[in-house]
Amino acid sequence: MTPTDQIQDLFDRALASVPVGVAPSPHTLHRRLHQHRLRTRLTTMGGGALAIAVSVIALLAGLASNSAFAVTLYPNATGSIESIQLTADQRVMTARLHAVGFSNAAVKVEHGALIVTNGPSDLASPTSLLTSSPQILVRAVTCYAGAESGPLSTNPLPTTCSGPQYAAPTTTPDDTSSAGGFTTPATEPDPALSAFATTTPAQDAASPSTTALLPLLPLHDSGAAVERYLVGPTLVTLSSKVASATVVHAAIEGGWIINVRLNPNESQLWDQVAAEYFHRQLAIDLNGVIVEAPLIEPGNTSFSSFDGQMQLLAVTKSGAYDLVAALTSGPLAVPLVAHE
Amino acid sequence: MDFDTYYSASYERVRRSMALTFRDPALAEEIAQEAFFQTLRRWPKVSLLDHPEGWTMIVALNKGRDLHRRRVRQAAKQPLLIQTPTHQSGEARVEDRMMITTLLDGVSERQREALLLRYITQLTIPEIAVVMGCAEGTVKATLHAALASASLLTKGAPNDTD
Repeated sequence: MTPTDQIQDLFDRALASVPVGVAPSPHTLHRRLHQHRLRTRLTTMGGGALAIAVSVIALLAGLASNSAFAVTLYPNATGSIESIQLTADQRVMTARLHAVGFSNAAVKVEHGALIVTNGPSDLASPTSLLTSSPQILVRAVTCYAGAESGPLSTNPLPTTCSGPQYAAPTTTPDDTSSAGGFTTPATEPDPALSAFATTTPAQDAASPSTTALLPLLPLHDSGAAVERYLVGPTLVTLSSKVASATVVHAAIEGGWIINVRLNPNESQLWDQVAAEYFHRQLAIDLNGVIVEAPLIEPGNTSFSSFDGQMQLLAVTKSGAYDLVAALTSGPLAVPLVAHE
Repeated sequence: MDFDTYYSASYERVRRSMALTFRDPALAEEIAQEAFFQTLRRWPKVSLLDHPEGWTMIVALNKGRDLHRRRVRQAAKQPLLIQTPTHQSGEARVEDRMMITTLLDGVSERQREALLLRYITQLTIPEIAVVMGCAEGTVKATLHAALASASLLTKGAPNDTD
Protein backbone atom coordinates (compact mmCIF):
# COMPACT_ATOMS: atom_id res chain seq x y z
CA MET A 1 0.00 0.00 0.00
CA THR A 2 1.48 3.37 -1.04
CA PRO A 3 1.69 6.25 1.43
CA THR A 4 -1.09 7.99 -0.50
CA ASP A 5 -3.29 4.92 -0.15
CA GLN A 6 -2.49 4.79 3.55
CA ILE A 7 -3.57 8.38 4.00
CA GLN A 8 -6.73 7.71 2.02
CA ASP A 9 -7.42 4.65 4.14
CA LEU A 10 -6.93 6.69 7.30
CA PHE A 11 -9.41 9.30 6.12
CA ASP A 12 -11.91 6.60 5.12
CA ARG A 13 -11.72 4.95 8.53
CA ALA A 14 -11.94 8.26 10.36
CA LEU A 15 -14.99 9.24 8.33
CA ALA A 16 -16.62 5.88 9.00
CA SER A 17 -16.00 6.28 12.72
CA VAL A 18 -18.23 9.36 12.95
CA PRO A 19 -21.58 8.28 14.42
CA VAL A 20 -24.34 7.90 11.88
CA GLY A 21 -26.76 10.81 11.64
CA VAL A 22 -30.19 11.11 10.09
CA ALA A 23 -30.38 13.45 7.12
CA PRO A 24 -33.44 15.69 7.38
CA SER A 25 -35.82 15.45 4.45
CA PRO A 26 -34.83 17.66 1.50
CA HIS A 27 -38.38 19.00 1.61
CA THR A 28 -37.38 20.85 4.76
CA LEU A 29 -34.84 22.76 2.67
CA HIS A 30 -37.36 23.39 -0.10
CA ARG A 31 -39.81 24.80 2.43
CA ARG A 32 -37.12 26.93 4.01
CA LEU A 33 -36.17 28.28 0.61
CA HIS A 34 -39.78 29.14 -0.13
CA GLN A 35 -40.17 30.97 3.18
CA HIS A 36 -36.87 32.73 2.55
CA ARG A 37 -38.13 33.97 -0.80
CA LEU A 38 -41.34 35.19 0.77
CA ARG A 39 -39.37 37.22 3.29
CA THR A 40 -37.20 38.58 0.52
CA ARG A 41 -40.25 39.68 -1.38
CA LEU A 42 -41.80 41.33 1.64
CA THR A 43 -38.65 43.36 2.24
CA THR A 44 -38.79 44.62 -1.30
CA MET A 45 -42.21 46.15 -0.72
CA GLY A 46 -40.61 49.13 0.94
CA GLY A 47 -38.79 50.04 -2.22
CA GLY A 48 -41.86 50.98 -4.20
CA ALA A 49 -40.49 54.18 -5.63
CA LEU A 50 -37.28 52.51 -6.71
CA ALA A 51 -39.30 49.71 -8.25
CA ILE A 52 -41.22 52.10 -10.43
CA ALA A 53 -37.98 53.69 -11.60
CA VAL A 54 -36.50 50.28 -12.40
CA SER A 55 -39.67 49.28 -14.20
CA VAL A 56 -39.66 52.36 -16.39
CA ILE A 57 -35.97 52.02 -17.26
CA ALA A 58 -36.32 48.31 -18.03
CA LEU A 59 -39.37 49.02 -20.13
CA LEU A 60 -37.67 51.71 -22.15
CA ALA A 61 -34.26 50.07 -22.42
CA GLY A 62 -35.06 46.41 -22.59
CA LEU A 63 -38.39 45.48 -23.99
CA ALA A 64 -38.52 47.88 -26.86
CA SER A 65 -35.38 46.31 -28.27
CA ASN A 66 -37.07 42.97 -28.97
CA SER A 67 -37.34 42.10 -32.61
CA ALA A 68 -40.44 42.97 -34.59
CA PHE A 69 -42.88 40.19 -35.30
CA ALA A 70 -46.19 39.46 -37.02
CA VAL A 71 -48.79 37.08 -35.70
CA THR A 72 -52.44 36.29 -36.30
CA LEU A 73 -54.67 35.88 -33.26
CA TYR A 74 -57.86 33.86 -33.69
CA PRO A 75 -60.80 33.79 -31.28
CA ASN A 76 -60.40 30.79 -29.00
CA ALA A 77 -64.09 30.13 -28.40
CA THR A 78 -66.89 28.10 -29.85
CA GLY A 79 -69.95 29.67 -31.43
CA SER A 80 -70.20 32.82 -33.45
CA ILE A 81 -68.03 35.77 -32.59
CA GLU A 82 -69.43 39.22 -33.14
CA SER A 83 -67.33 41.92 -34.70
CA ILE A 84 -67.85 44.15 -31.67
CA GLN A 85 -66.04 41.55 -29.55
CA LEU A 86 -63.08 41.54 -31.91
CA THR A 87 -63.02 45.32 -31.93
CA ALA A 88 -62.94 45.29 -28.12
CA ASP A 89 -60.08 42.79 -28.21
CA GLN A 90 -58.26 45.00 -30.72
CA ARG A 91 -58.45 47.89 -28.27
CA VAL A 92 -57.30 45.79 -25.31
CA MET A 93 -54.49 44.14 -27.30
CA THR A 94 -53.23 47.50 -28.54
CA ALA A 95 -53.12 48.79 -24.97
CA ARG A 96 -51.26 45.69 -23.82
CA LEU A 97 -48.66 45.89 -26.59
CA HIS A 98 -48.03 49.57 -25.91
CA ALA A 99 -47.75 48.78 -22.19
CA VAL A 100 -44.96 46.26 -22.82
CA GLY A 101 -42.99 48.76 -24.87
CA PHE A 102 -44.09 47.99 -28.45
CA SER A 103 -45.36 51.45 -29.29
CA ASN A 104 -45.09 50.71 -33.04
CA ALA A 105 -47.23 47.59 -32.82
CA ALA A 106 -50.35 47.64 -34.97
CA VAL A 107 -53.45 45.53 -34.45
CA LYS A 108 -55.96 45.09 -37.30
CA VAL A 109 -59.20 43.14 -37.48
CA GLU A 110 -59.31 41.10 -40.68
CA HIS A 111 -61.33 38.03 -41.66
CA GLY A 112 -62.50 37.30 -38.13
CA ALA A 113 -59.03 37.52 -36.56
CA LEU A 114 -56.59 40.05 -35.16
CA ILE A 115 -53.39 40.60 -37.13
CA VAL A 116 -50.60 42.00 -35.02
CA THR A 117 -47.48 43.46 -36.64
CA ASN A 118 -44.35 44.77 -34.93
CA GLY A 119 -45.33 42.96 -31.75
CA PRO A 120 -43.25 40.79 -29.40
CA SER A 121 -42.25 37.30 -30.47
CA ASP A 122 -43.64 35.69 -27.32
CA LEU A 123 -47.12 36.70 -28.42
CA ALA A 124 -47.17 33.46 -30.41
CA SER A 125 -46.59 31.33 -27.32
CA PRO A 126 -49.70 29.42 -26.25
CA THR A 127 -48.92 30.39 -22.66
CA SER A 128 -48.54 34.11 -23.38
CA LEU A 129 -50.43 36.16 -20.83
CA LEU A 130 -50.98 38.84 -23.47
CA THR A 131 -53.57 36.65 -25.17
CA SER A 132 -55.35 35.63 -21.97
CA SER A 133 -57.49 37.24 -19.31
CA PRO A 134 -55.67 36.30 -16.12
CA GLN A 135 -57.84 35.55 -13.11
CA ILE A 136 -56.54 35.76 -9.58
CA LEU A 137 -58.18 33.13 -7.40
CA VAL A 138 -57.60 33.09 -3.66
CA ARG A 139 -57.77 29.62 -2.13
CA ALA A 140 -57.04 28.16 1.30
CA VAL A 141 -54.04 25.85 1.62
CA THR A 142 -55.18 22.41 2.78
CA CYS A 143 -51.83 20.67 2.79
CA TYR A 144 -48.42 20.72 1.23
CA ALA A 145 -47.58 18.14 -1.44
CA GLY A 146 -44.37 17.14 -3.17
CA ALA A 147 -43.96 16.26 -6.82
CA GLU A 148 -45.89 13.55 -8.67
CA SER A 149 -44.22 10.17 -8.32
CA GLY A 150 -45.02 6.58 -9.17
CA PRO A 151 -48.15 5.44 -10.96
CA LEU A 152 -50.92 8.00 -10.85
CA SER A 153 -54.18 7.24 -9.09
CA THR A 154 -57.46 7.32 -10.97
CA ASN A 155 -59.40 8.06 -7.78
CA PRO A 156 -60.92 11.51 -7.29
CA LEU A 157 -58.61 14.06 -5.73
CA PRO A 158 -59.01 13.96 -1.92
CA THR A 159 -60.31 17.08 -0.24
CA THR A 160 -58.37 16.54 2.98
CA CYS A 161 -54.87 15.45 3.92
CA SER A 162 -54.17 11.79 4.67
CA GLY A 163 -53.24 12.63 8.26
CA PRO A 164 -53.56 15.55 10.66
CA GLN A 165 -49.77 15.95 10.76
CA TYR A 166 -49.84 17.09 7.12
CA ALA A 167 -52.77 19.48 7.45
CA ALA A 168 -52.52 23.25 7.50
CA PRO A 169 -54.33 24.81 10.52
CA THR A 170 -58.05 25.15 9.86
CA THR A 171 -58.56 27.92 12.39
CA THR A 172 -56.46 30.92 13.33
CA PRO A 173 -54.10 29.78 16.11
CA ASP A 174 -54.87 31.18 19.56
CA ASP A 175 -51.33 32.31 20.25
CA THR A 176 -50.91 35.47 18.24
CA SER A 177 -48.62 37.20 20.67
CA SER A 178 -45.27 36.23 19.19
CA ALA A 179 -43.17 39.36 19.33
CA GLY A 180 -40.57 38.06 16.92
CA GLY A 181 -43.09 37.15 14.27
CA PHE A 182 -45.59 34.32 14.14
CA THR A 183 -44.37 31.07 12.62
CA THR A 184 -45.92 27.71 11.91
CA PRO A 185 -43.94 24.49 12.14
CA ALA A 186 -42.75 23.21 8.77
CA THR A 187 -44.90 20.31 7.66
CA GLU A 188 -43.73 17.45 5.50
CA PRO A 189 -45.47 16.88 2.18
CA ASP A 190 -48.43 14.55 2.36
CA PRO A 191 -47.10 11.32 0.79
CA ALA A 192 -50.59 10.24 -0.29
CA LEU A 193 -50.78 13.17 -2.72
CA SER A 194 -47.75 12.12 -4.77
CA ALA A 195 -50.00 9.62 -6.55
CA PHE A 196 -52.36 12.33 -7.79
CA ALA A 197 -51.92 14.28 -11.00
CA THR A 198 -51.53 18.02 -10.89
CA THR A 199 -54.69 19.94 -11.73
CA THR A 200 -54.29 21.47 -15.19
CA PRO A 201 -54.96 25.18 -15.86
CA ALA A 202 -57.97 24.19 -17.96
CA GLN A 203 -59.41 22.07 -15.13
CA ASP A 204 -58.69 24.88 -12.67
CA ALA A 205 -60.47 27.43 -14.84
CA ALA A 206 -63.43 25.12 -15.45
CA SER A 207 -63.91 24.18 -11.78
CA PRO A 208 -62.74 26.97 -9.51
CA SER A 209 -65.11 25.85 -6.76
CA THR A 210 -63.56 22.45 -6.23
CA THR A 211 -60.41 21.27 -4.50
CA ALA A 212 -57.32 21.40 -6.70
CA LEU A 213 -53.74 20.16 -6.56
CA LEU A 214 -51.74 23.04 -7.99
CA PRO A 215 -48.03 23.54 -8.64
CA LEU A 216 -46.08 26.29 -6.93
CA LEU A 217 -44.45 28.55 -9.52
CA PRO A 218 -40.93 27.08 -9.88
CA LEU A 219 -38.30 29.80 -9.99
CA HIS A 220 -35.31 27.74 -10.96
CA ASP A 221 -36.23 24.22 -11.94
CA SER A 222 -36.78 23.62 -15.60
CA GLY A 223 -38.57 20.31 -15.01
CA ALA A 224 -41.84 19.43 -13.35
CA ALA A 225 -42.98 21.29 -10.25
CA VAL A 226 -41.24 20.05 -7.12
CA GLU A 227 -43.71 21.67 -4.79
CA ARG A 228 -47.46 21.51 -4.98
CA TYR A 229 -50.31 22.45 -2.68
CA LEU A 230 -53.68 20.86 -2.17
CA VAL A 231 -55.96 23.88 -2.06
CA GLY A 232 -59.62 24.25 -1.20
CA PRO A 233 -62.40 25.83 -3.26
CA THR A 234 -61.89 29.41 -4.41
CA LEU A 235 -62.65 31.84 -1.60
CA VAL A 236 -62.69 34.92 -3.78
CA THR A 237 -62.08 35.64 -7.46
CA LEU A 238 -60.44 38.94 -8.22
CA SER A 239 -61.18 40.59 -11.53
CA SER A 240 -58.84 40.72 -14.48
CA LYS A 241 -58.49 44.48 -14.20
CA VAL A 242 -56.58 45.97 -11.29
CA ALA A 243 -56.03 49.59 -10.33
CA SER A 244 -52.28 49.43 -10.92
CA ALA A 245 -49.43 46.97 -11.18
CA THR A 246 -45.66 47.46 -11.23
CA VAL A 247 -42.77 45.07 -11.70
CA VAL A 248 -39.93 44.63 -9.21
CA HIS A 249 -36.92 42.45 -9.89
CA ALA A 250 -36.18 40.12 -6.98
CA ALA A 251 -32.45 40.54 -7.36
CA ILE A 252 -31.48 38.01 -4.70
CA GLU A 253 -33.55 35.01 -5.59
CA GLY A 254 -34.30 35.52 -9.26
CA GLY A 255 -37.81 35.91 -10.54
CA TRP A 256 -39.89 39.04 -10.89
CA ILE A 257 -42.32 40.41 -8.36
CA ILE A 258 -45.44 42.27 -9.45
CA ASN A 259 -46.85 44.68 -6.90
CA VAL A 260 -50.56 44.90 -7.52
CA ARG A 261 -53.01 47.44 -6.17
CA LEU A 262 -56.58 46.19 -6.33
CA ASN A 263 -59.68 48.25 -6.99
CA PRO A 264 -61.44 49.48 -3.81
CA ASN A 265 -64.26 46.94 -3.89
CA GLU A 266 -61.86 44.07 -4.46
CA SER A 267 -59.51 45.41 -1.83
CA GLN A 268 -62.35 44.94 0.63
CA LEU A 269 -62.90 41.34 -0.52
CA TRP A 270 -59.20 40.56 -0.21
CA ASP A 271 -59.13 42.02 3.32
CA GLN A 272 -62.18 40.00 4.37
CA VAL A 273 -60.58 36.74 3.30
CA ALA A 274 -57.16 37.65 4.68
CA ALA A 275 -58.67 38.62 8.04
CA GLU A 276 -60.48 35.31 8.24
CA TYR A 277 -57.23 33.50 7.44
CA PHE A 278 -55.00 35.64 9.69
CA HIS A 279 -51.82 33.68 10.60
CA ARG A 280 -52.87 30.94 8.18
CA GLN A 281 -51.73 30.19 4.70
CA LEU A 282 -53.55 31.28 1.56
CA ALA A 283 -52.68 30.40 -2.01
CA ILE A 284 -52.84 32.91 -4.85
CA ASP A 285 -53.83 30.93 -7.93
CA LEU A 286 -53.08 32.62 -11.25
CA ASN A 287 -54.18 30.61 -14.27
CA GLY A 288 -53.66 27.28 -12.52
CA VAL A 289 -50.31 28.04 -10.90
CA ILE A 290 -49.75 29.18 -7.32
CA VAL A 291 -47.74 32.37 -7.62
CA GLU A 292 -47.73 33.04 -3.89
CA ALA A 293 -48.69 31.02 -0.80
CA PRO A 294 -48.25 33.56 1.96
CA LEU A 295 -48.74 33.11 5.68
CA ILE A 296 -50.96 36.08 6.43
CA GLU A 297 -49.18 38.83 8.34
CA PRO A 298 -46.82 36.73 10.46
CA GLY A 299 -45.20 39.89 11.84
CA ASN A 300 -48.48 41.27 13.24
CA THR A 301 -50.28 40.36 16.44
CA SER A 302 -53.62 41.36 14.95
CA PHE A 303 -54.87 41.75 11.40
CA SER A 304 -54.35 45.03 9.60
CA SER A 305 -55.73 45.92 6.18
CA PHE A 306 -53.63 45.20 3.11
CA ASP A 307 -54.99 48.43 1.67
CA GLY A 308 -55.56 46.71 -1.65
CA GLN A 309 -51.97 45.54 -2.04
CA MET A 310 -51.00 42.09 -3.21
CA GLN A 311 -47.85 40.56 -4.66
CA LEU A 312 -47.65 38.16 -7.58
CA LEU A 313 -44.60 36.48 -9.05
CA ALA A 314 -43.36 35.73 -12.55
CA VAL A 315 -40.33 33.75 -13.65
CA THR A 316 -39.19 35.95 -16.52
CA LYS A 317 -39.04 39.66 -17.14
CA SER A 318 -41.23 39.46 -20.24
CA GLY A 319 -43.73 37.29 -18.34
CA ALA A 320 -43.89 39.87 -15.56
CA TYR A 321 -44.52 42.74 -17.96
CA ASP A 322 -47.04 40.70 -19.93
CA LEU A 323 -48.91 40.02 -16.71
CA VAL A 324 -48.86 43.68 -15.73
CA ALA A 325 -50.14 44.64 -19.17
CA ALA A 326 -52.88 42.03 -19.01
CA LEU A 327 -53.97 42.98 -15.49
CA THR A 328 -54.06 46.70 -16.11
CA SER A 329 -55.70 46.68 -19.53
CA GLY A 330 -58.67 44.58 -18.49
CA PRO A 331 -59.98 41.28 -19.80
CA LEU A 332 -60.33 40.36 -23.45
CA ALA A 333 -63.88 40.20 -24.72
CA VAL A 334 -63.07 36.85 -26.26
CA PRO A 335 -59.94 34.77 -25.58
CA LEU A 336 -57.38 34.59 -28.37
CA VAL A 337 -55.00 31.96 -29.65
CA ALA A 338 -52.00 32.66 -31.86
CA HIS A 339 -51.07 31.30 -35.27
CA GLU A 340 -47.88 32.56 -36.87
CA MET B 1 -29.21 15.42 -11.53
CA ASP B 2 -31.93 16.96 -9.40
CA PHE B 3 -31.20 18.51 -6.04
CA ASP B 4 -32.92 15.86 -3.93
CA THR B 5 -30.82 13.07 -5.45
CA TYR B 6 -27.64 15.05 -4.93
CA TYR B 7 -28.65 15.83 -1.36
CA SER B 8 -29.31 12.17 -0.51
CA ALA B 9 -25.98 11.11 -1.97
CA SER B 10 -23.80 13.81 -0.41
CA TYR B 11 -25.36 14.99 2.84
CA GLU B 12 -23.92 12.33 5.12
CA ARG B 13 -20.39 12.69 3.72
CA VAL B 14 -20.40 16.46 4.20
CA ARG B 15 -21.86 16.16 7.70
CA ARG B 16 -19.24 13.64 8.76
CA SER B 17 -16.45 15.75 7.30
CA MET B 18 -17.63 18.68 9.35
CA ALA B 19 -17.86 16.47 12.46
CA LEU B 20 -14.24 15.48 11.90
CA THR B 21 -13.17 19.05 11.28
CA PHE B 22 -14.99 20.78 14.11
CA ARG B 23 -15.37 17.85 16.57
CA ASP B 24 -18.97 18.72 17.33
CA PRO B 25 -21.75 16.53 15.88
CA ALA B 26 -24.49 19.08 16.55
CA LEU B 27 -22.49 21.86 14.99
CA ALA B 28 -21.65 19.60 12.04
CA GLU B 29 -25.34 19.00 11.41
CA GLU B 30 -26.09 22.71 11.54
CA ILE B 31 -23.23 23.46 9.16
CA ALA B 32 -24.29 20.74 6.72
CA GLN B 33 -27.89 21.97 6.72
CA GLU B 34 -26.80 25.51 6.05
CA ALA B 35 -24.37 24.46 3.30
CA PHE B 36 -27.04 22.42 1.51
CA PHE B 37 -29.54 25.26 1.87
CA GLN B 38 -27.05 27.57 0.15
CA THR B 39 -26.52 24.86 -2.47
CA LEU B 40 -30.28 24.66 -3.09
CA ARG B 41 -30.50 28.44 -3.45
CA ARG B 42 -27.87 28.34 -6.19
CA TRP B 43 -28.70 24.92 -7.59
CA PRO B 44 -29.25 26.08 -11.21
CA LYS B 45 -25.59 27.13 -11.31
CA VAL B 46 -24.08 24.63 -8.87
CA SER B 47 -25.67 21.69 -10.69
CA LEU B 48 -23.73 22.66 -13.80
CA LEU B 49 -20.40 22.26 -12.01
CA ASP B 50 -18.42 19.08 -12.60
CA HIS B 51 -18.27 18.49 -8.83
CA PRO B 52 -21.09 20.16 -6.91
CA GLU B 53 -19.98 18.48 -3.70
CA GLY B 54 -16.68 20.34 -3.82
CA TRP B 55 -18.64 23.59 -3.88
CA THR B 56 -20.85 22.48 -0.99
CA MET B 57 -17.80 21.37 0.99
CA ILE B 58 -16.14 24.78 0.62
CA VAL B 59 -19.37 26.54 1.68
CA ALA B 60 -19.63 24.21 4.68
CA LEU B 61 -16.06 24.90 5.73
CA ASN B 62 -16.57 28.65 5.50
CA LYS B 63 -19.83 28.48 7.41
CA GLY B 64 -18.30 26.12 9.95
CA ARG B 65 -15.37 28.40 10.53
CA ASP B 66 -17.68 31.32 11.29
CA LEU B 67 -19.94 29.30 13.59
CA HIS B 68 -17.01 27.65 15.32
CA ARG B 69 -15.34 31.00 16.05
CA ARG B 70 -18.59 32.41 17.37
CA ARG B 71 -19.07 29.45 19.69
CA VAL B 72 -15.50 29.62 20.93
CA ARG B 73 -15.99 33.30 21.75
CA GLN B 74 -19.27 32.54 23.51
CA ALA B 75 -17.72 29.63 25.42
CA ALA B 76 -14.93 31.87 26.65
CA LYS B 77 -17.56 34.03 28.36
CA GLN B 78 -19.37 31.08 29.98
CA PRO B 79 -18.42 29.27 33.18
CA LEU B 80 -16.48 26.10 32.46
CA LEU B 81 -18.80 23.17 31.91
CA ILE B 82 -17.89 19.53 32.10
CA GLN B 83 -17.91 18.11 28.62
CA THR B 84 -19.74 14.82 28.25
CA PRO B 85 -17.69 12.40 26.16
CA THR B 86 -19.47 11.08 23.09
CA HIS B 87 -20.03 7.39 22.62
CA GLN B 88 -17.17 5.77 20.74
CA SER B 89 -17.65 2.72 18.62
CA GLY B 90 -14.17 1.26 18.96
CA GLU B 91 -10.78 2.23 20.22
CA ALA B 92 -8.98 1.78 16.92
CA ARG B 93 -11.53 3.93 15.10
CA VAL B 94 -11.23 6.58 17.75
CA GLU B 95 -7.51 6.68 17.19
CA ASP B 96 -8.04 7.09 13.45
CA ARG B 97 -10.48 9.87 14.07
CA MET B 98 -8.19 11.56 16.55
CA MET B 99 -5.35 11.47 14.04
CA ILE B 100 -7.47 13.11 11.38
CA THR B 101 -9.03 15.69 13.68
CA THR B 102 -5.58 16.55 15.01
CA LEU B 103 -4.33 16.86 11.45
CA LEU B 104 -7.25 19.08 10.44
CA ASP B 105 -6.80 21.19 13.57
CA GLY B 106 -3.16 21.81 12.89
CA VAL B 107 -3.30 22.98 9.29
CA SER B 108 -4.30 26.26 7.67
CA GLU B 109 -7.76 26.87 6.27
CA ARG B 110 -6.57 26.43 2.68
CA GLN B 111 -4.78 23.23 3.60
CA ARG B 112 -7.92 21.94 5.31
CA GLU B 113 -9.98 22.65 2.21
CA ALA B 114 -7.48 20.82 0.04
CA LEU B 115 -7.37 17.79 2.33
CA LEU B 116 -11.15 17.41 2.47
CA LEU B 117 -11.56 17.84 -1.26
CA ARG B 118 -8.81 15.32 -1.95
CA TYR B 119 -9.47 12.58 0.57
CA ILE B 120 -13.17 12.89 1.32
CA THR B 121 -14.74 14.34 -1.80
CA GLN B 122 -12.20 12.30 -3.81
CA LEU B 123 -11.39 15.02 -6.31
CA THR B 124 -8.24 14.86 -8.41
CA ILE B 125 -5.59 17.55 -8.24
CA PRO B 126 -6.83 19.34 -11.42
CA GLU B 127 -10.40 19.24 -10.08
CA ILE B 128 -9.34 20.66 -6.73
CA ALA B 129 -7.47 23.42 -8.55
CA VAL B 130 -10.71 24.39 -10.32
CA VAL B 131 -12.77 24.33 -7.11
CA MET B 132 -10.19 26.29 -5.10
CA GLY B 133 -9.37 28.64 -7.96
CA CYS B 134 -5.62 28.08 -7.98
CA ALA B 135 -2.92 26.28 -9.99
CA GLU B 136 -2.43 22.53 -9.82
CA GLY B 137 1.08 23.06 -8.48
CA THR B 138 -0.33 25.13 -5.65
CA VAL B 139 -2.75 22.35 -4.75
CA LYS B 140 0.07 19.80 -4.68
CA ALA B 141 2.21 22.04 -2.54
CA THR B 142 -0.68 22.77 -0.20
CA LEU B 143 -1.50 19.09 0.27
CA HIS B 144 2.13 18.18 0.74
CA ALA B 145 2.65 20.88 3.33
CA ALA B 146 -0.51 19.84 5.18
CA LEU B 147 0.48 16.20 5.40
CA ALA B 148 4.12 16.95 6.11
CA SER B 149 3.18 19.24 8.95
CA ALA B 150 1.37 16.37 10.58
CA SER B 151 4.20 13.93 9.87
CA LEU B 152 1.87 11.78 7.81
CA LEU B 153 4.28 11.83 4.93
CA THR B 154 7.38 9.86 5.61
CA LYS B 155 10.65 10.80 4.10
CA GLY B 156 10.63 9.89 0.43
CA ALA B 157 6.87 9.65 0.16
CA PRO B 158 5.33 10.83 -3.09
CA ASN B 159 5.01 14.56 -3.38
CA ASP B 160 1.66 14.34 -4.40
CA THR B 161 -0.67 12.94 -3.19
CA ASP B 162 -2.23 12.22 -6.50
